[in-house]
Amino acid sequence: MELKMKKYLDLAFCYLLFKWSLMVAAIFWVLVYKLSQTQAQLPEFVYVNF
Amino acid sequence: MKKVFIFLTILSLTYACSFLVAEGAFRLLGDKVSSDLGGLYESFSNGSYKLAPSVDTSASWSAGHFSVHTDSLGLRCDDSRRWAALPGTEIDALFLGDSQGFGNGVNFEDSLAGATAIALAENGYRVSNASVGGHALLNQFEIVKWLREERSLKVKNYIVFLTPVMIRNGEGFGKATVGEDGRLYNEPLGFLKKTAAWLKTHAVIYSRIRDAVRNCGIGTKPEAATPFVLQIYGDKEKEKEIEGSLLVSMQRVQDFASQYGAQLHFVYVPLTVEVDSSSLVSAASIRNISLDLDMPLRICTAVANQLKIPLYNFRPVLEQFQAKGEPLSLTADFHYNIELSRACALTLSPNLMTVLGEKNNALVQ
Repeated sequence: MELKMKKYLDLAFCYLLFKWSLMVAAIFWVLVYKLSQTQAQLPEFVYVNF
Repeated sequence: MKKVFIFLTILSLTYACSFLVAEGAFRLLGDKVSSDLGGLYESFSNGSYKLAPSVDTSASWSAGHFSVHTDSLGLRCDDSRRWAALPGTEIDALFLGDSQGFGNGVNFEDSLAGATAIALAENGYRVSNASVGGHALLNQFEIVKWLREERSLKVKNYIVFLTPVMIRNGEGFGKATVGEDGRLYNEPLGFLKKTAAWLKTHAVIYSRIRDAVRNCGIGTKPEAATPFVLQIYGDKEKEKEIEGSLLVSMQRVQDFASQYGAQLHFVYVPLTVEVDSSSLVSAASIRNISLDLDMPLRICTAVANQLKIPLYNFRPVLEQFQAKGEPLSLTADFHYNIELSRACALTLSPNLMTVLGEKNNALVQ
């Protein structure tokens, strides 16, 4: 019984971690998408060519 | 300890999977993988480089996606090669220049040289473009000699797109290492740069992340590039020296052209900061440098007068754009945008037609 409970807690913990990781990753890519859409904000006159 | 391991594993796996999902999502949004101009360059004489023949490549820079095609001589042309030049033939004009003449960041049809070539072709003129990014005048002269002496390309008129950078490097000669992948490198690549180059040419998320980072103002290295631009307009005491260097180099090109009965023409192609100068002026004032934004044009005019070469100036076109509040350059890139390139081409082509002479057989209907 105790072993089963421990396994359930481990799975719940992993699921919680997965949900948080997924959320952080989603926020990261939304940020990348939004920032890459905006016009370049250059601090001074620069040559940028790559 | 075990929990930390589990935490790191789940985090890494989720992140790794998210990269794949993001790659697919950005591709669905229309992003294209950048070839990063792979295969475009080949080594040339004295450590120089030129465009390789018969290349079809592309790149995705901050300004967007564009393609580059070359003919059998290594001259930039359109994708269907209607503006390709053939060895042993005669053309009315050959454009010489650096990245501005090449048309960095835009397709051939949208570049300064390409749009001019198309406008001239409508009136029967055959024009090609030998401009290569990063080339100084003497690099271009090497290509001019090679085309005439080894490829028998007969040119009636040489038209030099003179930018302030080319004027400044009058007697300079650009050198670079051409990698096995046909790209230009300043130095051998380390592991990290090789990895970045691989990612750049295989994944669209590279461009997205790069643009996001650059748009935050990170990695633009203003302090690395600005001093060079300030030198172009700030070294007033070197004006006579720069003029002398340009005169010597131009004299060589003119002598060569005369030897084969060809004419030489100048087109002054200003940097956009000459008319949109607020950021450059503030950068100069921080460094206590006074600028003379007319110096490159003055040098160009003086050399043209001494060699009796016709000079055409794009500055009024830029000033018109600036007065209307229209953008002049590409995103995060100082090169002319499509609209400005076309406007310059439209004003240049009628002037060139008067010096190129009458033509009856229109190449493009």
